[in-house]
Amino acid sequence: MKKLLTVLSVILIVGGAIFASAQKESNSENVLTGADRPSWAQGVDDVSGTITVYTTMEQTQQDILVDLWKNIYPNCDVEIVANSVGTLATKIRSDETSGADVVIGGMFAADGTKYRDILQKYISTLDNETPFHDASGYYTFYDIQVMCLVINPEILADLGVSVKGYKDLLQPELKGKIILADPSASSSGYRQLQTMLATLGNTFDDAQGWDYIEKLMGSAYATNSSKDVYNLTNEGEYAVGLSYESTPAGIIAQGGATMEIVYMEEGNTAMPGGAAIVKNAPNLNAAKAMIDLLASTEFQDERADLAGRGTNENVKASDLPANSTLGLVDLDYDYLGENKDQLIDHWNILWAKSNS
Amino acid sequence: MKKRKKLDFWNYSSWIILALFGLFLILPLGGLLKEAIYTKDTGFTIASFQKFFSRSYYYNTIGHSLKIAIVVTIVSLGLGIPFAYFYSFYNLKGRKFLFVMCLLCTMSAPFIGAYAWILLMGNNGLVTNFLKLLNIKNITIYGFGGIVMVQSLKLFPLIVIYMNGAFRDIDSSLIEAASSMGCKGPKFFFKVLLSLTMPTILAGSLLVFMRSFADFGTPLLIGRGYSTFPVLIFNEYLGENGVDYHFAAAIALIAVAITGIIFLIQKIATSKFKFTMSALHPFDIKEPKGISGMLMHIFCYGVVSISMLPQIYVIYMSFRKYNSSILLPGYSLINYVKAFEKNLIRATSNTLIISFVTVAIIIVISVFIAYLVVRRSNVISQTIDTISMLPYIMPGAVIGIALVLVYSKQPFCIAGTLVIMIVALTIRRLPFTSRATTATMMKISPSIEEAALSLGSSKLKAFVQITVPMMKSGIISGAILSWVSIITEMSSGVILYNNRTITLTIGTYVAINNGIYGVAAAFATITTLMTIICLVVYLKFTKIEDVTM
Repeated sequence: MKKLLTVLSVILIVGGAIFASAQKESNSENVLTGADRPSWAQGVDDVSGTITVYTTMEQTQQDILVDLWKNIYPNCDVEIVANSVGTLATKIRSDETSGADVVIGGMFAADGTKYRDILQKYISTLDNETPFHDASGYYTFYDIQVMCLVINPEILADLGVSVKGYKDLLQPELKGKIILADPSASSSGYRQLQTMLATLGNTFDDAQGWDYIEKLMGSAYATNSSKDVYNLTNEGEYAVGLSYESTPAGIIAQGGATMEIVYMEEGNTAMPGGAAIVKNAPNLNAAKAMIDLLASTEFQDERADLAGRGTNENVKASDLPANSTLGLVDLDYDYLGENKDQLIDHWNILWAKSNS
Repeated sequence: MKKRKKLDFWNYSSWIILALFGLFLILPLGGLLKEAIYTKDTGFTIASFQKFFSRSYYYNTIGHSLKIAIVVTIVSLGLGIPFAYFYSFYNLKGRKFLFVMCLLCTMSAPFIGAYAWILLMGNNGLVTNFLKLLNIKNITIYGFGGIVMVQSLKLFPLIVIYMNGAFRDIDSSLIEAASSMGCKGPKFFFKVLLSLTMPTILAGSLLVFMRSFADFGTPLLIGRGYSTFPVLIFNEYLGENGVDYHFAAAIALIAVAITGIIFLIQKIATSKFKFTMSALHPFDIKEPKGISGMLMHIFCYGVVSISMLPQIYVIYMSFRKYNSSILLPGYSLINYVKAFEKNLIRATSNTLIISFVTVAIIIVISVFIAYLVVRRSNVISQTIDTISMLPYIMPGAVIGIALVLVYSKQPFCIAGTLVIMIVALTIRRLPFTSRATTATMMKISPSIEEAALSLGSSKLKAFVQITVPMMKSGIISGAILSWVSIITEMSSGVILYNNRTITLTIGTYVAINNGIYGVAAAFATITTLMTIICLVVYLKFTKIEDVTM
């Protein structure tokens, strides 16, 4: 037994030493000072300690955010917990020691009151630079989310079909080749549901819209993660995915991707998405600084380079097609906030019917 | 006077253990029950249960999960029993290697294996495309068939381990008697061997059934609309829309009720086969010869290589070049560099701390339970014995949710700390180890301890210095296997983790969730590496065949 413990502890120590020596040192050379420093930024020494960020952002956006943060606030470390917003919210609710300061991403104008129990109000100092405001004072928007189809051109060529919009998805060749995110598990799945109901029916949430959805369900598979939609389409598992725009567009912009983006000819919907400060945030000052950074042109410009639609009036144009070309249909946020459970229940019943 | 004091020591310890169970098992279960049937707004209500049974997309998941678990159990028996038979009765080439591979199959980290299967056998997978060249189409990993295949290949080694032990307990005189009466071939296999090992077959089946029923990673990734019970629990608890904690708690209770019923059925079935064996004359291991020998080798090595395929592919993937989620041509160490940025060090040290502390606690408690049950059988110790088996029927997610419900509020806020992870894992693993130590304890004759006592040793001293060392081999083998399964444990951790308490398997899960598959592969590779180190150490200290799960 002693021998065993010795061997195990040697493994432990050696392993620990290897890991420790491999740990990277952080560099803080590119700190923005003087004229380069944005006017809205707090002083370098005013923001310190650690900021714990709960976020739905994927890796590349996280990298942009952390790099910019480190250039402005070199004395404040960033801890990132990345997951879907439902998981993040449950973790904050169920863990008083979560230490979460801000939630970035996954918070939409049509959420109603559902996350207010874990958030606190904060209005960014840059609120006058945007036309998008949260009347309740909780959210600061930095993203305009529009929806899209991601297609795998190689697979579509093999099948001999072309896809320009929702209607094309009902072609028999595409049966079993379509992936979508389950609205009951994913916020982007819910957004796609909204968009289909808004663009395919005569009025929102009418029988015509649901009729299309029921037909689509016969050809499609549902996943729990919005990331599966574009990643698996890109890998050729599926021919078409029903996705949101920004992340797949960013992946395509970086090169190496097979997938392409198609904007539905039937139209689209736009939804401001943003971030908020967590109730009892341990590092409140850093949390405020983070929200301001998200609202700034400095962050949104970099995000635009990668493919993101900003909310700041002064943000530079991205390579994405302009909002005016998308055929945007207005959404009634209050209706969505109030009828969410009913809409998702309707979806679930149809899904069970077409997949039993 | 002295005697009375010693009695108190065992009384105290049984009360302490009972209190610990009450605190960390009964109380959370009560919390779960309260969450399921009581809401602040409406008071007592069975609305959550009504909701579950009023919608087919909820209650159908029971049928799905049961169907998967039953088929997986049957397939695992079909693979595992012949495998164990060939392994136990014939001197196959590279036996040790075969056995280690077998262990590794079952100890692979969950989740990543299913993802590797997508890359291998998905619509655009390596194997699928190869089969397309041979004009074999419509092979798919998705749906019911895929779940059954992935789970069976992961769980059949449990049957092998159990059956190998059982075959070894068969006395050669029984085999000789059967063959002298003309019972040979398949008849001998079914009438004699399987009847003699039926209690073990039932025990192994139960274990496979429970693991399959509680697994959520595989159906989540490759189920594609074939929704199962654990997936439903996770969605209701951690999903983005329509999250309903009361409902999640109600489903969790239904899950416990179902597994409880299965457990009782197994108990009743086992009670029909009440006999014990110990081999005084072990049978001779035969040399595999001719065509049948060749077929045995092909079968065993074939099954193991297919099961190992995803793990090997994951290791390969971890060295591929990735840009976030996009696979690029060429090879690099970028995934490992990224993994370091994603708390690989913290995850590794957390995994080591959690596993060592948990194993230590499990050993101490299970040795105490074994002693109390075997030597001090009374109402309290029997209660402890029964309660300690409760976690056996609780899926990991249920334990996770139950603990969070009770321990996330002040003044007992241990949610989000390593303590709650250790508690959850201790509860999860304790039934397995305490069964093994109890069995070991039963084989130790009390006369040795009595000899020590009559020579003037105190009871505590006799226990620590005489009895415990005699249980050593049982304890070590149980401990190391517990250690491995703790390293690869996931389902309760997903509910309980945060950034400070992240472990290697959770790191893999989070990376897959974020679509950074290369990083996930790197995490999984480190996990596999640790399991291998652990198995090597294990083999240094025990005879390979002594494995108990």
